[in-house]
Amino acid sequence: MSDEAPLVAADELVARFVTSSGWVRKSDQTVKQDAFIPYPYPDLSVTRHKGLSNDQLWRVGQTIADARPATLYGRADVAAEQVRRQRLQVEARPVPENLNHASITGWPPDKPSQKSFAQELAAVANYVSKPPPAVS
Amino acid sequence: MIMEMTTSALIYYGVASTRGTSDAARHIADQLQTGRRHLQNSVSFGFAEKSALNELFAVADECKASNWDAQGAAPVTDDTYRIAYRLLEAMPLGTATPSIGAEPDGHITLEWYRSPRRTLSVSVSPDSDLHYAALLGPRKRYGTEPFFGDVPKVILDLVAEVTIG
Repeated sequence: MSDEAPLVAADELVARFVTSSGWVRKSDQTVKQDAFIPYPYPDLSVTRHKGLSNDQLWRVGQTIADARPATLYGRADVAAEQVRRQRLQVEARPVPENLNHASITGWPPDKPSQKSFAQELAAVANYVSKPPPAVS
Repeated sequence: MIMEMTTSALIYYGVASTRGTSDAARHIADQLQTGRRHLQNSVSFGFAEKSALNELFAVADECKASNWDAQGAAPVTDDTYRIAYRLLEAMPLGTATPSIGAEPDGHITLEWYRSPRRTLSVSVSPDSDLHYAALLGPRKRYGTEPFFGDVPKVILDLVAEVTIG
């Protein structure tokens, strides 16, 4: 952890945007561990809820999806406290296009261990489907 | 009687990937493969497996380009797709059907799921490595097995533990 990367408070929620249909189980609308595998960086990109309305949070996710473009299916919310229980960290890493950007850091280097950590995060994550567009 | 024995052998052992090189060994492997294909086309044994193969195709197609997740993902390559296909085909008939996904590093995943804390995920890499992780209530299991054509026993045991045990 560096001085420029303050830790996110334990009670804060962070969102991992779901941009693949295969990351969500159709049976019960829960999220798979696939969504939490850190790549291409050694850390996992998430967005802090802090200070954002629900609409603003979805707008951040839509901006990420539109860059490819890809479909935004929903988001998986996890409390920073739950991340730390896995001995991972959540660091605030704002970027110009997303001031609420944060990274989950401290991942082990080998894939099976990463999967195990990702399974633990998925098990406590709350999946929220993207709401349909409002009818004008 | 012969068909009964063949069927039960196929259900129990899956597709045998023969290590024999003789004509007889190849003939037996071909017959097993043919029998397996017949069973795949049957309603009772084949429907679930076919749906998994269809799901595999859909996921591979969705994730074949770089950055398919808009967050920097690696593409799912043809090699990874072919290995995952062979792995599904090698599953003993009657095995619970996994759901298919892809990870940002381009690996294809097969997941067997009963609850958030009773689940098994197997990642298929383009190098034919199978990285697996399971949550079994308070216990965890994870590791890597090579895939040479037969489903590793540790993975079959975990599938059974997640779906039956």
